[in-house]
Amino acid sequence: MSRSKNFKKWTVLLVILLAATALFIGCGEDDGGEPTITVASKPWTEQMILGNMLLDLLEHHGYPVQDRIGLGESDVIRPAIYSDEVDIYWEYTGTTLTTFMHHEPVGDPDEAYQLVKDWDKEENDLVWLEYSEANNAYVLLMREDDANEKGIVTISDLAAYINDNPGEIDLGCNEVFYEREDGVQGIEETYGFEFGDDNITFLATGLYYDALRQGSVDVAEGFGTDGRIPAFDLVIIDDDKEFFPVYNPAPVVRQEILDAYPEIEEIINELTRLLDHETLTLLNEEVDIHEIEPEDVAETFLRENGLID
Amino acid sequence: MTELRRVFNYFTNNLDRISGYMLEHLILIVIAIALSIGLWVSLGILVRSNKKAADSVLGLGSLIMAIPSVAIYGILVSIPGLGLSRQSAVIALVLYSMLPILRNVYVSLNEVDKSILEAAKGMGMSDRQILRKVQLPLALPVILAGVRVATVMMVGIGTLAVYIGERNLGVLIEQGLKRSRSDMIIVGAILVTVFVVVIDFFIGWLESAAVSEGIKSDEGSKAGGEN
Amino acid sequence: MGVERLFVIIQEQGISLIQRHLYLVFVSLFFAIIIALPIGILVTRPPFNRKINQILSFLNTAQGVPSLAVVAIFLPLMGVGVRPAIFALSIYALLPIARNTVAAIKGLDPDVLEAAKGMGLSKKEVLLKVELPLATPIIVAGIQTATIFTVGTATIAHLIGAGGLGRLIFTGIAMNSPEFILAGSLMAAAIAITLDQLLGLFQRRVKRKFGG
Repeated sequence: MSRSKNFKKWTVLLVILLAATALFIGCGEDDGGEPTITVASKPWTEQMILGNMLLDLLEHHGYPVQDRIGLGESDVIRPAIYSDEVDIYWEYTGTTLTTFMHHEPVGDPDEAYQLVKDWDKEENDLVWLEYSEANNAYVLLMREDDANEKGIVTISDLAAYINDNPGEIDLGCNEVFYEREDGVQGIEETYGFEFGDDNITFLATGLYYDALRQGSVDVAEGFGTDGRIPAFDLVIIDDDKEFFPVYNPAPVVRQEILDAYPEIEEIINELTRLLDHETLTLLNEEVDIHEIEPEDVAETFLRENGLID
Repeated sequence: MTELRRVFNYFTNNLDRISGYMLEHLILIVIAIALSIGLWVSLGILVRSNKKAADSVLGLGSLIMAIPSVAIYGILVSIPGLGLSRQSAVIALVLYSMLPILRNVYVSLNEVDKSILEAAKGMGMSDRQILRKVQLPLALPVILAGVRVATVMMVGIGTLAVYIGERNLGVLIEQGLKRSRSDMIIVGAILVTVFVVVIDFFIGWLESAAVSEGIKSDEGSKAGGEN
Repeated sequence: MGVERLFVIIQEQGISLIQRHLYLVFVSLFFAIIIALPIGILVTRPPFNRKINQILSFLNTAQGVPSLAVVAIFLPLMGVGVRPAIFALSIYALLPIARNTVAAIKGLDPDVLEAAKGMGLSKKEVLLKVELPLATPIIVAGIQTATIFTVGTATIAHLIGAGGLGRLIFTGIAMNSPEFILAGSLMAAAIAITLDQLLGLFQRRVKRKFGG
């Protein structure tokens, strides 16, 4: 008799615990009256600086914000902003153009901007605020001495070298870069060469600079404004056929948030106007070479320019 | 600047950020261990007399533990509705703690000296009373040992959760890898190691405290102090 | 999600990634075993056996060190690639094997050892003919644990450039591609479970033979 009562009691407890667990799984974020602005960014230096500047700026002006800096690459953030989990993040014109719109790469900043701005508004109800002049394009890198030795200055030179010496050159890159339309395969097509399946080493984000420096690969992907390029004695191979599209960053925000807080548009644009190519590169250097954290670089910049106090 | 200097500087310059990460790490573990204890101790009690059921769930727990944590994260993250969330991280941790806790509950409840159980029954105690006043107190140290193993594991697996969106001490290592920052990697590695050792010792201390409790209650019931 | 695409990925990339993964696991296990066994045995001999409890305690705690820390620390130490990964994986796999070796030998019935000595066996013979055989089941269990650990840690090895199934998982998370994630996760899980079951079977056989 007491045995089955015992059993029942524990079963009930177990069920309650499972229910609590299920509730815990099901529950998400609650908005309430004033919508929180969820600020996201991709998990690398420039993105984190830009994202933190947005975060600090909005917070300073008294808006409720949520920090999701470093959430993931565009493939993660895009679905998140489509499903309202993210409200604002810095995206690049080039990335949107090729990766989301499957459009041909565009070299003119204004043209690229207008295309993505119209598309995102119409398709996704997302608003592109003003864009920054800085162009953080993908680049191909080599060790400086190696490039000099082989006489490679442009990607056309690289293509010629590889065609003459098949199988010699190893590329180190992210699998993401390989899969993208403005990535490896696009380069190969435009310049008329192939690295070769055996010559591609897939590396986790950020490792390509190390791998290139230590000699494990001969060519690596990189970001144009990354401070490790000068620091590791690497050199950018010139994109002479201008394959890589322009990548101007701009904040992309959900229309709903803009409706709730229309003033943030001008507040943010004020910041963007200060971010030209040189400035952004210097900020990246602060993080990559001078080893200051992105959050601190962002805060200092805003303070020095009187945007926060 | 020597490497040691850089490491030290990074630590001192980012103390507030680092303590924030540590707090997040702790919160994650506390949530997970609370759920785990509730779930697995209950389950262990439920199957304590049923060897077949016990073997099945223990087998399941063993199976889960063999799977690489990153793979479990991957599977959970792919489930619609979960994604890159704390829920996914907690569920993974709870799943991993199944075997260590469940096994220790089952074994310790079944290891209580037969003569003690006989004595208790002889005194007229019901099954439930025996469970509460005799078996569980005696089993406590072993259960705690299981909790200790589980918690230590959680620190490590929780560190990996930064790849699915958590923001704990693992961030130092993750960012260090992406930004070629050996100082961050070293600080991160040292801190998580210290964290593990501290937790290991802390719960170990609880274990030894629990043993004395167990002996105390054992003497109490032997002398017929109850009822 | 495209189930078809999932199978395509497994087909195209699966083989080479599994090969690399298994390479990492087995090479590391090899080094771990040949280092851990002698060290474990050594610890049970004087003068080290005076500190045997502390050493055992240390090995237990050391196993708790997060795998990400162990793997990542080798990037500044040795750079990118397979070699640093194998160093990291070997060290990590060492611990459970050494621990079990020590615990197994330590836990042997002293009467049995006395009897063996009494029969005139030299110290070396006692080790080889009595201690090791009796300790084998637990040592094999340690190798089983080490194997599972290593399959898991090898998935992280991708983060320092060693390749393996981790690449599919981490890239999948970055690209929000369930196909990549599941391809990597399911294959890694399958390998882990298979090795675990096989070694479990072997361990039970050994236990029966050597009376664990």
